[in-house]
Parts: sequence; C-alpha cells; structure tokens
Amino acid sequence: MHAVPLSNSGSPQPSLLSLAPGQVGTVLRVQGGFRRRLLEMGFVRGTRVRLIKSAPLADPLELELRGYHVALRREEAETVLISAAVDA
Amino acid sequence: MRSIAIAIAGNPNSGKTTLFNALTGSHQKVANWAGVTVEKKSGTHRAGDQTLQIIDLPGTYSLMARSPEEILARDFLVHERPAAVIDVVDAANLERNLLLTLQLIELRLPLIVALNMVDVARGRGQRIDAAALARRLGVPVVETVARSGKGLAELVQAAIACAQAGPNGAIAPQYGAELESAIGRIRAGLLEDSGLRALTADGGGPYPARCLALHLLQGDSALEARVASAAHNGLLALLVGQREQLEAALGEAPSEAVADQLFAQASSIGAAALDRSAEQTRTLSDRLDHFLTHRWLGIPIFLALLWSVFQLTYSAAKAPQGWIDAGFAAAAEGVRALVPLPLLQSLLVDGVIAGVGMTMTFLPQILILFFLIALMEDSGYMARVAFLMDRLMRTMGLHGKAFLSLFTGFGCNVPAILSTRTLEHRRDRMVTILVLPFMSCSARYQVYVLFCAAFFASHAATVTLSLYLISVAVALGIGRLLRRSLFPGGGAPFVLELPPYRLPTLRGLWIHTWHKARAFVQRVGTVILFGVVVVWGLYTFPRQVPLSRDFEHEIAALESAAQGAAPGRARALGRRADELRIALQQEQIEGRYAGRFGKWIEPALRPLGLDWRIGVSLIPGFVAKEITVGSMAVLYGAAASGDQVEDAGIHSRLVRKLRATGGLTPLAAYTFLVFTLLYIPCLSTVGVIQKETGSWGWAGFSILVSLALGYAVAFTVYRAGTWLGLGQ
Repeated sequence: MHAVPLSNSGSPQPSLLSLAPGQVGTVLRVQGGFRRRLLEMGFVRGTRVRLIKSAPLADPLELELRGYHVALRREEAETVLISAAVDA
Repeated sequence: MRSIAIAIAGNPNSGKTTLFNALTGSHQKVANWAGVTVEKKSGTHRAGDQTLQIIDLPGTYSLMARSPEEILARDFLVHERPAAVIDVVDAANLERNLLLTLQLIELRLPLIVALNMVDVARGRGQRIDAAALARRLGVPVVETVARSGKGLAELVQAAIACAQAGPNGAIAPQYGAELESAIGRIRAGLLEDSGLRALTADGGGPYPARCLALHLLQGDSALEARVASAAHNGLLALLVGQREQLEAALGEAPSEAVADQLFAQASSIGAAALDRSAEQTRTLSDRLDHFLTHRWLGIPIFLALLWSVFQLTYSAAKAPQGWIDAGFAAAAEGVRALVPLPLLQSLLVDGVIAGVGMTMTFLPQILILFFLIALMEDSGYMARVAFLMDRLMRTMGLHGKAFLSLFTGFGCNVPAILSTRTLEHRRDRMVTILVLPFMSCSARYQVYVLFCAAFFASHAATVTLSLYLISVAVALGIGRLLRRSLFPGGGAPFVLELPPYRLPTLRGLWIHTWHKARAFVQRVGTVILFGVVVVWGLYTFPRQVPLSRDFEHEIAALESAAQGAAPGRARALGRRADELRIALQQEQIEGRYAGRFGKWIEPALRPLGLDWRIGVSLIPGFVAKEITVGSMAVLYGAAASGDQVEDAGIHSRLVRKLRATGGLTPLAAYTFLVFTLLYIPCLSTVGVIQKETGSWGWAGFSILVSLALGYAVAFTVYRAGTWLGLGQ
C-alpha cells in the first residue's frame, strides 16, 4: 500500500484528510469537479463532519455528518476543506 | 369508482420501497422505464371506493438530473403530473432529506410528506415536531412507520385530500438577491418566447415557469438541449450571460450556490422542528459496524458470511430438492404408462422431464440464495461490502459501486449488466459490463451442486467457495487489464451512504425473492425447455446407429442362461449383461449427432482431462448454463427406462451415474467446473451486452475472451493438479 499524505500539503487549508478517527472538522468550502454532488449530500459551509474510520485497506473513509454516515474516497475527501480539526 | 395516480418520491434508504410494498402488497408489477433499464414499480391500493395507482419513483438525493434515476424521477413528475406526490422523508436523517422536499415544492404539485421511521428517530432520542414541520413547509406531514403499517391509513387519506385540493406548498424556497433576480430574468425570457412559453404552466405546459428557469440556470443539459433544439438563441444567450454574471458575483457556479441556499433552508427548517437534546451518540448500528467494517475483522467476516450463505444454501435446500425430484420421477412413470409411442415417450421422459425436471430441482437453492442476497441488501450490509471492497475494486480498475453489480452477477449476469446503469461514467460501465460474465451466476452454481454431490461430497462448500474466488479473481484481473488497455483514465468519484442497519421486513424479502424465482421458472419454461429438446434431438437422431456386435442378442442369451443357473453364477451373468447394456448405450450415443460433435471437439478437451460426453454438454450451455446439467441428465441416461436402480430420483441417479461411468477423476471434475465457470457468457447475457454497449463487436469480444481465458485457466488448473499428483 502506498503512503497517503495525512494533510493536504499543496493547499494552505486542511481538508477532511487531516482528521484523525473521532475528530470533527467544520466545512469551509468544497473544491473540484465533484462539488455539486458533495453539496447535495450536505457538505455545505458550516457543516460539522466527523471521521468515523477508514476502510480496511485505508480507503475509502467513513464520515458522519448531519446525523448520517457516508463513505468518501480519499481523493474526494481531500476536496472538502475544513477549519482546523478538533477532538469531539 | 375513480383511480388517482400517486407517485412516491424520496431519498435512497428512506424506507420508500417498504412504504410502497406496504401500500400495494402483492398488487404490484415491475417493468422498465421506457427506453432505460431502471426498474419501474407500480401497484394499486384500495381506499374505500377509491383506487390509487401508486408509482414508486427511483430513490434520489436530488432532482437535478445528473443520473438516469434523477432524470426519470423529474421527468415523470413534470410531464405525467401525478395527482399527488408522497415524499418519504427519513425522520432520523431530516436535514438531508429535506433538500429533495424543497426541490419537490418547486415543482408545484400536490405534495404530502411521509415522515417515516419516526420510531427509529425516537429510539435515537430525536423528537420531531411534525406540526411545526408542516407549518414551515406548507404541506401536510404525516408520521409513518412503513414497516409496521403505522400511519399509512392517515397518509392515504391525506394524499387523497391533497389530490383534490391541488398544488400546495406555502413557501417557495428563496435563493438570495442575486440568484432571485437572475431567476426572474430568465423566467421573463421564457414567457416572452412563444415556443418556450408553451413549456411553462402559464402557457398551458407542464413546467412552472419559475422552476423551469431555476433548472435551466443550474445547467441542466437535457433541458438546455431542448431549448437549443427549438433554436431559441435569445434565451440561450441570456442563460449563459446570467450564469457568467452570477459566477463572477458569487464566486461559485449557480448550481452550487443554489445547493448552498437549499441546504441552509433545509437546515433551518430541520433545526426548528427537531429536538436533539436527548440524542444518543452511539447507536446499535455503530456498535455493529465496529466489527463488521473493522480494520482487520471486516473482510474476514465478509468472507465467512459469504461462505455461510453457500453452506446454508446447500443444506437447507436438500429436503425440498428431494420432493421436487420425486415429483418429476413420478411424472416420468406416469408418462411411460400413458404414452405408447416410443419416440414421443422418449421425447417427454428423456428430453422434457429429465431436462426441465433436473433444472427445477434447483428452485429451492435459487430461492434460498436470492433470499439471502435480499437479506444482505435490505439490512444495509451491502453498502458496507462496497465500503470494504472499494479499494480492492479500484486496484482492479472498477468502481466500488460496481461491487453491487458484481454481487448481483452471482445471482444472474443479465440483471447485473442492466444494473451497471447506476455507474455514472461510461468507462466504469464498459469495464464492469465486460467483466460481469466471469461472475459465477446461479445457473453455473447448479453445475457445482451436481458435481460436488458426485465428487466432493465432504468438501462441497470449500470447493464452491474456491470457484467463486476464481471467478472474482478473473473478473478483477480482466477489469484491470481492460482499464490499462482499452479504457484508460480516471473513474467516477465514490460517494456512498451507509444507512443504519435495519431488520428487513419479511414482506420485502419475499417480494424480492418471488420476482427472481418467477423469472427463473419462466426461463425453465421457455429457453431451457427449447434447449433441452434440441439436445434430446441431437442425442436421439439418427435413430439407427451401426453397432460393433449384436448387443440385444447377447444380453438376451446371458439373461436366459442366468434363469436356470445357480445363484452365484446368475449374479455373474447379470453383471455381464449390465456391462453390455452400458457398452450398448455408449456406442449408440457415439453414433448420434451429439456424439459425433463431441468426438469432433474431443481432441481439444483431452488436455483438460475431459471426454466427449462432457464436451457435448458444454455446447447447449451456451443457450443457458442450466442446460449443462439438464443435458447431462439426458446424456448419462439418468431417466432411461432400462435403468434398474431402486432409487427413483433423477438427481440422485445422475449423481451416481457421473461417479460410476463418468470416467472423470476428481481433478478432471474440478477442471470441468473451472471451464464451465469461465468458458462463455450465455445467450441472454450476450444479448444484453450487445444491447447495453450498443455493439455486436463488444458482444463478440466477450465471447472470444471468455473462450480463450476459460481454456487457458482450466488447462493450467489441470496441468498443475496433475503435476502435484492430484490426477488420481
């Protein structure tokens, strides 16, 4: 398995990838071509998103937001920028 | 008596299908939406003197026409204008579900919200004020628990009242000053254009003008094509201009700004109606997931579950299989007694009853397998399987969602190929379609069952699991190759809801299983019956075959000699006569068309340790894999009247015959199973591949690849096994 960076090194903003299991981040902005679908699933500004766990092979991630659970791949999770992660 | 049309809309996992099943019961039919292969389910419900025609729309998160499901749901609502729409909202997941509700309100249809699964929400400590929700939305809200039927009578009454009262929804969602002014300008443009005005409600058309303007602003390509085709250039220019202006002003595309605004409203409405103060943070579902999607345990648990599914399917089906078997054996006896013409008797007994009867004995297994698959789907476990397997699937060039299609392929490749329509990217779809024929369907499973009983009685589940693993390995390997060579490039993103685990309803499981079982029986009655009769013909003609000696005479002589002989000598003579009978049958089969064909391809099968009789049964397997088994029953004479075996069952007799006279070592039998698994997609599958890829080229490609690969893998297995000393 290749190593996946934990934080989004190319961008000044942390993304969902910077969350450790159990931590919560607040959505600032969604980037990239897949924006619309993510917005429709509730990843809009101000939404609190918690990382539950990653799948056995490290990808995808299980996230909780607005009272439901959703799986996102790392590359999509990286497009969701958050304010700094906090422990819930 | 009047009939009114009511559509059911809602998010996936909102309990929509359970509600539909509860309302319509057994009065439902499943068809495809015109032109696409998304299932269209409709049914009727009687309420007093009124008949409701209920249409279950595909589950969608939004109506913004991105996926085939969304396009269907929206087009149906806009163009068919049902008398009322029931929006099923998951009470435990209020905010996200309300997004669709707000989009539905834009359509200006009579709308009722079914606040479903209120029991689950309450169990989690969430309290929802339905009256407050109804006030904020301006539509009736009825609390329901679809699985127990609670609130359904009130829901139906509300829907009927709503249908009579006409469009409701006190508030239209608001999108902020910039968006609103753009919507207003486009709306005015639409109403000024004589051609487009006819599309709007103001011009007598189906679309509320504001809603059409909103959808166009968000860049709905299907709608835009309609506008462009009518050459309304003025409006297109206005549209593009407004979008650019907004993007500059807001810093994001209008479609995204709209979603932002909708969610803000959904959140504020949800927050006003929802009391979360007593909410539990860790539910039973979370605790289950701790193990079921655990980093180390998740995949082993999944494999163990898969193994138990196959094991249970074997063991639980045994008894009913025996009854069906005995039933067909009795039918064969009856036909023998009633039909005097030898050729007709042979057609009915050795062809129709042996072939169809053999296939029908698998009905219990099919029922159990589909029941268990439905159980995994309805309980929410399937979504976890996609979650567990996505990384692996992606290594092989497939989308995690495709795992669901591949899993359906274990049942039948045909619906599985149809289900790839849920994949958004063409590359993902093509690779999944071409890989699917390698998934071991339930028809192939029937061959495993037969051979396991004959050769691997004590290791049936292990042998079967190994075949499924080969199936998956080949499918994924081919997927990777295709991805590297013919379909390079990235796939669609992966967003998959993991709904809470739910106890499925028996009614839902039964409806699911019943539709599959009915399709299976229909196939037995049509394609398989035809195939079996053709095989019987190949096996029966030409009637006269030159024989190497006068078997009949020699057998008669042996038997008359046995009459007066001492018991020991009589037994020896009887055995000799039986050997001659078998030799006679073999020579007869060899001389007939089937045998000639089998002999012709035998040189190709020898390296696999297989003889011509097995070869003969592979040919009709192209028509449908089930016939492989049915035709073996014919080829090995399992229903032959000359058979003196005390046990009357066709199945058990075929098992014994295969073991006794099949001439196969266990290794050759396993090689045959591997070859059967891979060698060719069945006729129906080839037809669907052609239809879904729109090309005979891809269908032919699929046949050639599977023939070559099936042979190569079977050859490797046989040679490796021989080298390891397993050939005895």
